[in-house]
Amino acid sequence: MSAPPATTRRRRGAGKERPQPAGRFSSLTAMLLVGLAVVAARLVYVQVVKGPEYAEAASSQRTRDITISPERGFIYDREGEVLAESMEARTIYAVPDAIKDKPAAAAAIANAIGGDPARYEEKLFKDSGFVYVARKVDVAQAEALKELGIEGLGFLEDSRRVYPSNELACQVLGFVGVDDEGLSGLELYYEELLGGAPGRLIGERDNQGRPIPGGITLEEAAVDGEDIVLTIDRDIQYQTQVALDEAVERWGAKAGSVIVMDPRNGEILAMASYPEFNPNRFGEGDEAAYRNRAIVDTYEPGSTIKSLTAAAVIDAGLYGPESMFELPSTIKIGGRTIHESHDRPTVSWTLTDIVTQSSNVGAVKLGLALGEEDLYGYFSRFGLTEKTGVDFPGEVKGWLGTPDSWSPSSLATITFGQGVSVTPLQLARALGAIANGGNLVTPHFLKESSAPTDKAPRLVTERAISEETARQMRVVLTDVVNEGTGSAAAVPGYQVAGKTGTAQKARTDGKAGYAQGKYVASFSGFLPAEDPRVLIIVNIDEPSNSIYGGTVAAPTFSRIAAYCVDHLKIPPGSPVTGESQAPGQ
Amino acid sequence: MNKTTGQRILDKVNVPLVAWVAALLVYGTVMVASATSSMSSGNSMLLRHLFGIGVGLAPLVVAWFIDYTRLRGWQGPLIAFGAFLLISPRIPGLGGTAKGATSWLEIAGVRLFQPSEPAKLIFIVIFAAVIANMKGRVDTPSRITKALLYLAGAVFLILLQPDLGTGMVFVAIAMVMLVVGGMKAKHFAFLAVAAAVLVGAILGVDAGLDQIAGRDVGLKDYQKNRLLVFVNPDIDPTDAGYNLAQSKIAIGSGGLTGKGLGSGTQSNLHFIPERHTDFIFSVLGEELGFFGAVLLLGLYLALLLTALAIATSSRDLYGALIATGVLGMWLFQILENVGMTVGMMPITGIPLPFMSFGSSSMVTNLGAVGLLLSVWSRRYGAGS
Repeated sequence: MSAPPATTRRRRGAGKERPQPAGRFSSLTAMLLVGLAVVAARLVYVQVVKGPEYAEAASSQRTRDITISPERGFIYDREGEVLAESMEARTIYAVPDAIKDKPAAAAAIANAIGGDPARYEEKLFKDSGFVYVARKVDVAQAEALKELGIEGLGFLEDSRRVYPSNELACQVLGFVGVDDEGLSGLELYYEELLGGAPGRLIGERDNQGRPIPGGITLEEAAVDGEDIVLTIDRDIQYQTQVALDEAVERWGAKAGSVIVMDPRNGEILAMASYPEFNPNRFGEGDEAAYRNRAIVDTYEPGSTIKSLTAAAVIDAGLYGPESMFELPSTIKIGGRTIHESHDRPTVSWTLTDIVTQSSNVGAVKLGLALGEEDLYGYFSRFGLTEKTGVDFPGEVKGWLGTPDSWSPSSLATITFGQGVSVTPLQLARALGAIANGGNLVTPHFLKESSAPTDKAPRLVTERAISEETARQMRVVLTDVVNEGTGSAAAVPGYQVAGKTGTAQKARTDGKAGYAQGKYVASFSGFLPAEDPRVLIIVNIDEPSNSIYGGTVAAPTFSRIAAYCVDHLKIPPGSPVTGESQAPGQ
Repeated sequence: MNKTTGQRILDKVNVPLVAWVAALLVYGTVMVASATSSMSSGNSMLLRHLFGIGVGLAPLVVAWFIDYTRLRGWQGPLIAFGAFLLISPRIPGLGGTAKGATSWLEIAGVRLFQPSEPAKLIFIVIFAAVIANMKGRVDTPSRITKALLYLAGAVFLILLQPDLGTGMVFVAIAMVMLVVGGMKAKHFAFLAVAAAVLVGAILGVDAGLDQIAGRDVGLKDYQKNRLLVFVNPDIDPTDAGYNLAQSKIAIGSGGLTGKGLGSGTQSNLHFIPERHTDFIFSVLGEELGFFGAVLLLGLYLALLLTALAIATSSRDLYGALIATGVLGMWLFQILENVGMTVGMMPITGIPLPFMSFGSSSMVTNLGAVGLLLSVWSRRYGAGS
């Protein structure tokens, strides 16, 4: 500095006043230094100490993360027919500030892709840098709109889930949400496989939210989802749904479900629930229609379970199919009197008769012979105390309880299916053991996938009963159809084994006991009886015109079974009994 | 004295002052170029900035060659001219309004300049004479009152516009000059308390008036908010608070070394408001980082110390006071402008000397340099 220090400054000239003492200037110097030092200190704080924080804030407010949707994997049936596919689509967005004539733009959008112009106009007037105008729009419609060249509209490649057969296997497949994420059914269960990995586009934007040309800083390609092949057979599924719909309608029922399973390996060929919905427009459906009743609903199985009781008695070596029992018209157990569904005098019946005539008193006799522990033990081995392990979200299990929680009459009522509950799929698995020679298999939907997944079902096989017991029970159950309550389940040319069920429904109003006039009519069986290939469980919930499983459910079983043997080209086998094949009473 | 012409001119030039100002002008031009590069009118903005510097050389030279001691005899005309400048925007046909303040001189729709800018220099010259006439002993209530009446008159005229920020600059100039003018610490303390009471009273009366009138009269809401947001940044996050938040994000994200000239994302993407004028420091902080900011503060420190040296070397108190006034004007504007960008000071429309885009301010500051040179070149006697 060329200015001499204040202390040595020379003064010349004749000013009237003298420059003031250096003290006043030193306080000025101090002010100046302190002021600048404080500002500098603040800069240290803002730029050095808080710098990284502000850098983060800067980066987040100027970048926009755009998700690139992957193409969702297809779902095929066992024959390679498409059950769910992804179609190319466009998502349309707008930068409202960049659109000059908003009402005109809204009208043009509505004209091109349909919808209410007022709703589009509302979006275009939003005080936002970015709004979705419409998502997953048909490609041709979007292209037509794009050709108009409206400034401020943008188009993103997208894909849209389509279920080409609409209601077919709707509860099994489930549906996806607006971002193509699986929300229910197998779409949800196999989300990891089907969903793929979304890509990202990080673009810089300005303070108006407008993307900046060349401002893309990160681009990760989307990884498309993997395809899966199901054990479902589309044709059997279709016939099953038609048969179920008609049965529900004919019998004035509230709901219903059907399982068609290969008892040898647990492959589910078809699974239907009524009511149904269209997954292409799932938002319009009733939520009750989303329930895959065969897996997520439990019920008291009623007489159907007598086949398991009988199998337990035979397997325990207590009695054979021809053992005789003296059966009074009623029996009193634990202070409760058990009646037959149709009054009869005291009779002498074989074990086979007890099952074919569906005798409650007979079942109680079998249960008394077994005792609580063995009955519980066998029902556990039939899988009634655990989930089946099916590859489906939200599976539940029924209730059996342990013998120490049973009431004095439980042993008696459980033998004919009261005081115990199951899901239809649990029953299918248990009955499957009788059909396949004594083993519990794991019911499942996944046949194969284009990539491995740890969500695939673990296909365990556990022995429930001996092969011989299973064989003997197949003969017994064949008699049910040939001579007993299940005659309507017969399929000409084939030996059908099965059991009817007419179960009372527990009250839902919180009180103990059974609801008056509310039943689940069922038929559970398999064919051909000598080498079962198809196991079918038909449940009709709250039929109003008739209540009996043999009347309401058995014909539906017959119809589906007949289609299956034809479609699967299953040859008629030799009779498993030497007795008459003619339909019984 | 056998000095050559060159030596004689050099003798009249304060070389450090010219050097620091030149360095600041280069720095400022670079920053304005960077800040306006992403504007569609970027090139013409830069040219206007350079044009402002060119025009500013005229008052610099004029002020330099006028013997400042002669200004003392023009007190009456200067007061009249200064008052006219401050009132001019309110004269029908002359005024232009921007952001609620009618602080522009505008003729036939052409915006000329902000008269309150050159009025600062005129105020400095007038106020220097007032204090000098008291022989540097402004230490009695009556003298203080008399001096403050000049200030009050000027501030009153500015508040008519109303331009609160410029009013604050006038107050700061006066206070710094009064330090050299002999006012005591106790007087400053008394004035501070009185000012606080007065501001409180004004806000109270203003609120009362608003209520009676049923609308916003007197001080505009945005002006009150600009002051109140300093106390509570959450008052209006979309306006003043938004500006402050964006400015801090820009400066903070610059870190130590900055993002590089022209690469300030917050600046180029228009997040920083008024980035080439009031918030030029935010651009600098973002693009050149802490080091760039410290370089600027260093240049300002050198400039202010040079102005201080010129003040102390003045042959008379009048010249020392003029130099002090210029120093006070710059010091306050620097602290206020940089301070507001980092959230230490309220947000006002006060430009950063030699850095901000804007010809009125540039021409005024170069005129102030001329005043300093005038004092410096006559330190050994009038006309020497």
